[in-house]
Amino acid sequence: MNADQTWIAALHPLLLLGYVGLLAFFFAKVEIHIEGPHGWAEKLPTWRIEEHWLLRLFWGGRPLTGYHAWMFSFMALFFLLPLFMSGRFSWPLMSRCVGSLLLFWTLEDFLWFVLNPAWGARKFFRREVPWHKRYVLGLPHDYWIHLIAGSILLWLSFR
Amino acid sequence: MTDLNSDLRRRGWHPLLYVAFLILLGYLFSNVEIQIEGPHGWAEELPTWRLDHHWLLNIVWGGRPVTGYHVYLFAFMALIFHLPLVMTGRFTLRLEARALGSIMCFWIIEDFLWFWQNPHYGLDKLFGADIGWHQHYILFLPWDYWIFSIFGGGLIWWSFRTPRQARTSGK
Repeated sequence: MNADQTWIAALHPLLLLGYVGLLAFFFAKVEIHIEGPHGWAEKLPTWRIEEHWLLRLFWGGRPLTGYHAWMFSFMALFFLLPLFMSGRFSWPLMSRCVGSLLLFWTLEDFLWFVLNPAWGARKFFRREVPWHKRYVLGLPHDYWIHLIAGSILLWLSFR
Repeated sequence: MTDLNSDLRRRGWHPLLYVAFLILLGYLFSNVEIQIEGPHGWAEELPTWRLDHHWLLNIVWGGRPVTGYHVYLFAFMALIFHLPLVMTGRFTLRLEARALGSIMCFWIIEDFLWFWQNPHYGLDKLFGADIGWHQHYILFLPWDYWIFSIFGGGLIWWSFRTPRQARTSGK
């Protein structure tokens, strides 16, 4: 590996992180144009399950909607596109896909509040978001889980 | 793992698997958009800005309104179809052609499935040219279906074609 290649290899994780951030920015804007001030698909013409013991166990106590069921499936599959487009399967690439997905959703959710004129970062940090029910160290608890798990997966994939 | 990969390529399954994956993505996203829009297609009832008439829209946008939702969504999709290049750190013309062709085919598949699955529309309305925002038809289909299918399909086909050098050397 010559000096140029070493530099490129060193920058690759940063480039990927920047790109995931860019994707999160654009999708946060998409969701703001879908939902406006009514977060968690409150006013969309979709089905909705408000309460279920399984939701408390696996979904942070949030309502499950048709919008979220389809969207999360779509996005999970889309982040596997690199495997299908390249036609190569490897565990490091799989780990990179899943890690990027976890970081994407966390960044996207945070940017949704920051960029949404009806919300803003202040409401987010003051815990005024009804669908983020559990906070740890100033952030929703699933942010920490996704950030830690996503970062570990990315780190493993670049090791 | 290596055996699985080489087997996939040697038997020519990769293009078929890839197209099936694109159809699955189109299917899932058409359902996402049905949950977002319901009976009100082309972001008619969404809380987004909207530009209904402009001469530029007639030239480059098929005469459809442009909305904030569509601007950000199309930008997002164009970017995420390039994620494989960024993630693998490989840029080749063939991969770029595959990404561009996939964007074109994805949107056509998704749009078609949106009508098919939406209980408020159905294929009769699509084939009957009864859709407010599809204004130009050729052979029972919106004209951009033909353009994007042909260009997108061509780009994907080219991206999977064995390079001339490899064909002549028998690899």
